[in-house]
Amino acid sequence: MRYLRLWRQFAVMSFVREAEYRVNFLLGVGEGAAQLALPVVTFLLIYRFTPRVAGWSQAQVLLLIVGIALATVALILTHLFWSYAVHYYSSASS
Amino acid sequence: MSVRVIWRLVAMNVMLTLEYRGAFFILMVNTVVVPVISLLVWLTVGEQGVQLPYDRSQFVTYYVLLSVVSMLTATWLAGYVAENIRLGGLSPWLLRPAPYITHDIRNNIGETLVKLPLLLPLAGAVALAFHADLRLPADPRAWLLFVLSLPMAAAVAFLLDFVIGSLAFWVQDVRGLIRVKGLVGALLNGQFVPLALFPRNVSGFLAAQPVRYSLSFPLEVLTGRLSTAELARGFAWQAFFCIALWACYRLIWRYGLRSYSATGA
Repeated sequence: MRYLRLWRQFAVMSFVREAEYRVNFLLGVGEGAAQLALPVVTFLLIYRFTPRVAGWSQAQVLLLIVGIALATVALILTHLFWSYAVHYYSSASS
Repeated sequence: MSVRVIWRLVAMNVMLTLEYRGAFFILMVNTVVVPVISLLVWLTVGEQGVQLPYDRSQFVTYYVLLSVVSMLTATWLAGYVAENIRLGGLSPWLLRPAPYITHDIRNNIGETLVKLPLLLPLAGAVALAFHADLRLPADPRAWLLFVLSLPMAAAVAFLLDFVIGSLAFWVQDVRGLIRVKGLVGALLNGQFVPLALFPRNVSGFLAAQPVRYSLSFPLEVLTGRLSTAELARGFAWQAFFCIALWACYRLIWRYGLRSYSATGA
């Protein structure tokens, strides 16, 4: 429970920090969307010509792309959580 | 500026780049591998008996040459220009006898000279692997037009990047804009998918946007897919974007320098 409260606190802090630089925040959201859209559009263009590529359907490939994107985000979030946590504990103990 | 000074500054940038030769080699591996992956996907689609706008040899020629052309027209300066404007690094350049842009031009040439010998053996190995389907044009006119379009493509890419970086005169942080341009540009310049494979109803838009002329157009010239009228239109667009972006650069710097200030630099 303590960790969940801690996590919530980090999330609020991060949101406040991001919201302070609004244009940059919006551009960051746009960039994230573009990053996801780039492989999606690429594969939509490929699947214009064929329903399957080497046995893979369009839905399977799109699921794979979104899955990779979510896994990447999860890895980054875990990394950020631990960086904040280390930073928090080191500054709290000093 | 004398030729000797320009040459010395290019040589200086070659030396600076050589310091990071390992990193540049990895970058060149990436430049070659990504088009090969795209090529393999399209060849797999083609092998299923699907009717595509490109045949097998056109795909091979396009993607083998893509790595070389994308390296020769590559730019990376927008972030540095923005940083120099934001942090005051521009100030010493304002006292020098050459405009700031010449610094980035020489940096671009210097790095390209180092990257070329790293890239060519890798691109050569890929060409060898696909040599049965690689069709380079035999007509010297196609090569002449390619040689003409290549520096213009590099100029369009360079000036577009420079103009975006120069917005830092008024915008505090342009890094997000640079990254979005990089992502959208990669789709619209034919880096992942040749523009001929896009739906027909967006072809008008694709022909009228500048990033096509920074990479895709020289490749289209060399793969021999364009009619004489399309070639003429393409060169006219390319020349137009070169001039328009140069005018944008001059205008932005004329007014931007008036709003520029730095302390302690």
